[in-house]
Formats: sequence, C-alpha cells, structure tokens
Amino acid sequence: MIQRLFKNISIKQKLTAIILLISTLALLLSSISFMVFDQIQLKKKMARDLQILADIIGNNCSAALLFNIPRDAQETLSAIRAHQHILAASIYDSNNNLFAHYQRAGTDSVFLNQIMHEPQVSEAFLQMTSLRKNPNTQNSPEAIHVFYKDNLLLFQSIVFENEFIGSVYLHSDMKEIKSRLQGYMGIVAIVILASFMVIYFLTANFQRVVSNPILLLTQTAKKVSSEKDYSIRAIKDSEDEIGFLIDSFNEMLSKIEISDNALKHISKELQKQTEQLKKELKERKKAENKIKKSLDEKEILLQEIHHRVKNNLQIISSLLKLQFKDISDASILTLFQDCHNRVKTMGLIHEQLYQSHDLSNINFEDYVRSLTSYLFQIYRQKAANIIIHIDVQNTSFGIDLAIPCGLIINEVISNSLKYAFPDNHQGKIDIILSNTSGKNGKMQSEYKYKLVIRDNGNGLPKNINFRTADTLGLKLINALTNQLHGNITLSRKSGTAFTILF
Amino acid sequence: MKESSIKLSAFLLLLLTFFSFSATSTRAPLTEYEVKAAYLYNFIKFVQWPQKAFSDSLDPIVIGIIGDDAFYDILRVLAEEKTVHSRNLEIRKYEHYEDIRNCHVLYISSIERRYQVSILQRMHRKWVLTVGNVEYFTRIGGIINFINEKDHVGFEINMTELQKSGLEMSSQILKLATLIRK
Repeated sequence: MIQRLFKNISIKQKLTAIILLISTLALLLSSISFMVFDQIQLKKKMARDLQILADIIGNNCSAALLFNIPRDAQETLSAIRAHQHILAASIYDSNNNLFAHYQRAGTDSVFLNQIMHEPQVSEAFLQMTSLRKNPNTQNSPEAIHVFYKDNLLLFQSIVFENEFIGSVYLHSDMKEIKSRLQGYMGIVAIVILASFMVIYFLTANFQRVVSNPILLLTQTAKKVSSEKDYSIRAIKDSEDEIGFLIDSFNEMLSKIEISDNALKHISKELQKQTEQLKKELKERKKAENKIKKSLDEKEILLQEIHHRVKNNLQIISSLLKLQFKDISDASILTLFQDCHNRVKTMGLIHEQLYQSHDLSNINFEDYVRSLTSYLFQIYRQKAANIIIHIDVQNTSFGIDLAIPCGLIINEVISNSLKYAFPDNHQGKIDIILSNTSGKNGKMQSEYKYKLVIRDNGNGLPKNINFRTADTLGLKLINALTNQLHGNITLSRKSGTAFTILF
Repeated sequence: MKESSIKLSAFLLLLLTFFSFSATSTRAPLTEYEVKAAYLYNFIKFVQWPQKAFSDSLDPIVIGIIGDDAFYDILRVLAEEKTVHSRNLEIRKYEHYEDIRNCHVLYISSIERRYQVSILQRMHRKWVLTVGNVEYFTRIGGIINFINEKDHVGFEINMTELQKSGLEMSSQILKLATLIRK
C-alpha cells in the first residue's frame, strides 16, 4: 500500500514524505511514551496524595471513633469540600459499621454505591479489613487503592496506639489526570504541528543535497534522449553513490557516442558505396544494352552472312547446273553433278543455319532428311526402289561438325545411289547416328558420336582400298573424317557399311 | 426534593445491605460503666505524660481509683491485655488519701463532695490526670468530668487545671469535650 503510494511520486517528494513521516512518528512516539509515563506517575502521585489525605482524616477522626462521636467525624469529613476531586468519603468503625459519610454536592448516590459494589472494589475492602486481623500487619496503617473506570478508590485503616479503630474510604475522580492529559494532547498537537512545519521547511532545503543531483541527472538524460545528442555530459559534484552513478552515466554516454559516431561513419560509407554500386549498375546496364545491341546486330549480320553464303552457294550451284546443258560427256557431267551436290550439301547447312534460332547449331535430323530427299531427287531414276531409313535422334550440330558430317553423308549416299543398286535393284540405305555415351552418361569410348551409313547393295569393288583409293569421293571421306578427329571403318558384309566414330 | 430523599434512602438501604455481610460481629449494648471505663482508657491514649513522670521506660501507667468498686473491676479486666504509649496499665484502689502516691490517673467517684474537695486540694496534682463523675468536679479542681447527655456519654475538661497539671492533651479530644476555663 505505502510502497504503491510511493511508487509514482518524485524522489524529492519521497524524501520529504519519508522524513516528515519518520520525524512525526518519532515525535508522536516520544510524546505518547512521555504522556504514558506521566500518567503512570500522576496516578501514583494521586494514590499517594489520597493516602496522605486519608491518613490525616483518620488521625483527626480517631478520637471521634474512640469516643463514638459521629458528629465530630462528620465535621472532619466536611473539611474535604476543599478537595474538588473527592466525590465521596466514609469512615467505618472497627466493626465496619458506617460511622460518618460525606458526599460531594451534586454527586449521584446510586452511582457511588454502584461503584462500591463493583466486585473489584468490595474485594479490596474485604482484603483490607482482613489484613488488619493479621497481627503482622496490624502495626502499620494499611491502604489499598483501586483504579476503576476513571475513579480512584482508597481504603485506609485507622490505627491508633497500635489498635485498629476503623477505616477511611475515599472516592476520587480522575478529572485532574484527564484534564492534564487533554492539556498534554493539546501541547503535543501544537508541538507536532510546529515541528512538522519546521521539519518541512528544513527538509525542503536539505533534501536538495540528495535530490538535486538526481534531478540534474534526470534532466540530462531527458535532454540526451530528446535531442539524441550523446556529447552532453552530466555534471558531478559529489563523491557518493550518485556521483558514481553520474560517472557511469557519462561513461555510458561516451561509449554510446563513440559507437554512434562509428555507426554514422559506417552508414555514410555504406551510402557512398551504394551510390557507387548504383552508378556501376547503371553503367553495366548501359554496357549490357550496348552488348545486346551489338549482339543483335551481330546476329543479324551472321544471319545475313549465312543467307549470303547460302545464296552464293545457290548461285554457284545454279551456275554449275547451267553448265549441265552444255556438257555432253557423261563423265564430266558426273563430275559437275558431284560438285553441284557438294555445293548443295553446304548450302543446305547454311540455309538451315540462318533459319535456326541460334545461328550456330542445326537440327541434324532435319538436315539429313533434306539432304537425302535432295539426293533421292537427283538420282531418282536409280533410287526408285531404294528405301532410306534415318535414325538420327534429334541431334544438334554446330557448323564445324555439320559440314564434314553432311559432306561425308553426301559422298557415301551419292556413291550408294550411283553404284550400289544397278538396274533399279531393290535396296535399303540406313543412316544411323547415335550417342556413344551410355545410359549412365559414362563415356564408353573416347568418341562422342557413332555414325553408321550402310547399304545392302553390291558393295565396293573388292580391289578398292577405301583408304588409299584414288577417287575424290573416298579421299574426301577420309579427309573429312580426319577433320572430325574421327576413325572410319568399312564393313563389306552384305553391302557396304561405313562406321565413323568421332 | 422528594427525588433526592428517595435517593438518599436508597443509598442508606444499600449501605445497610453492604454492611450486613461485612460486619464481623454484633455486641450487646454497653453499660454506662463499661462506656466510661472505655472512655477513661481512651483519655489516657490522648494524654502525654512527660518522661519525668516515670522512673523508667518500663514503668506502668498507674490508674488510681477512689470510691467506685464496680469501675475498678471493669478497668482491671480492660487493663490486663492493653498497653498505652507502650506501657502497661496498673489499676490501684485507694481507700484513704494517704494511699495516693505515684499515680498518673486518678478517678474519684461516689464519695461526698467535701472529701473530694479535700483530696484535690491536698494531693500533689502535678502530672496527674484527675477524672470525676459529678457535675461540680471540674469546678473543685478536677480536669475531666463525665456528663450524661441524652443519647450518649460526654465529658468536660477544665483547661486551667489541665495546664496546671503539666499534662499535654491532644486537640482531638479537646475538640470532643465541653471546655471550661475557671
């Protein structure tokens, strides 16, 4: 509760509140203990005073008791009027019979009697009367007092010449104590109020010693956090815990400042680098565009070149064809025809090349089909009954492989069509291109491709060694195989079969 | 007025009930002799004799009685167990004037006036408390005299005689007595 109350107020207020609370409490405590002590002392004094009074009354009444003259005792008791606090007084003879009685005017008799009949009071009376029967205590006057509900009741035995002759009963109120207590309370209230003000005034001045450095530190912290300025430092003016706190705070600030500066520097550097990168990226893009542009240009150019090469080859082939009419000699015509075929073979490649999308590779199957259909067209009279089977498995070839391969195929097929099936014999030509790499992709040999061209015709004449033959066709086949860094073998079983590994 | 009287009677009633159980004993009413004997005894308590009246500290207080035998008997019973001023009491009966010696209290009663006068005139009255029981006793030189009032026994004291005797008497007892100055 108190902790919660204290939680959200400032240190200055906390200090003031705590000091005020403690000092007021201490003051209150000491005042109360003083009052309690005073009350106890006062009660003792009251009981003693009352006893003295009872003694005097007893002494003054002893003759009256001895000579049995109640009137005289009554007169003595009347003198009690001067004692404002005594409500009632009685004298009893040695047989405890009422001898004389006094009652303050205006006092309620029923009330007095009720008090006398309170167990505590009557017990005290009986105790006293029994005491005087005890021979040991008979010599000294006995008094018993009872504090009962703001009343002081006293029984005192009257002893005269060592003889118990009666007793005095006095009933006093405690107004004196009460009024004194009230007076003290007033004084305490005034003292506490006054010291509260003095302490408050002093605290307001002295608490600054503690709270000011904290307040200053707080202000500095606020300033730092609001302005984000880490170069501010708190001012230290004491060597206590707060001083240590300020030192730590400053140290922390300087560390933050250093790392903040480093961070700023890094971020600046980073910004610079980013800008540079941006610039570079821009330049690269520009260069890329340029390259792309030039690539496009080159592609167009390449296409154009292939086109022109093809056109030129077309022109050459047409020129050769134009010569056909003028040639009557069949062998020369064949030479021209072969030449024409070779040019056409190359031209087909260039045609396919400029039509292909990447200008460097051609679909070899398409090419082989175009080439064979062209050759079958040229030698249509001889090839009427020949079936061609092409199995090239959708292979893509660059110009460096396509031209030698195409020319080899041209030479072999032309040869087959020309010589292998005379007199329109039925026959079959196979062109099989396969990848020598196995299913697992592992190379089975040093060659990547295997090209088999075979026919089931007559076969080459037995006397011809294809490696050393003098014909241009076979020479070309060997030369082209060399160009492919390949290896060529000939099988003469059931026709002719060239197998080229490259 | 009526209310206060009711209250008072109620109070007295309560007091009576209170003391009905606290009173230790009840006694039969005392005879006149007994009362007077007790008075005599009480007088002694309120009177101070000088040291010179006794030969030593153990010396008893001597009470001399002239004339009244009944009184003598009662006092003897009383004196047996009591001390006053730390001294024992000694009761003596005197038949003749010549017998009166070294007594501290002298009770004269039941004899003719002229004898009483002659005793008081002839005896050595220094330090002797004289007590009588006739109306003229204080006028013929006695110090204390019993007087019968209507409901109780009273007494008178002759202050002049008291001073002459050299005895000191407590003011308390003087307060109760009828004082006479000759």
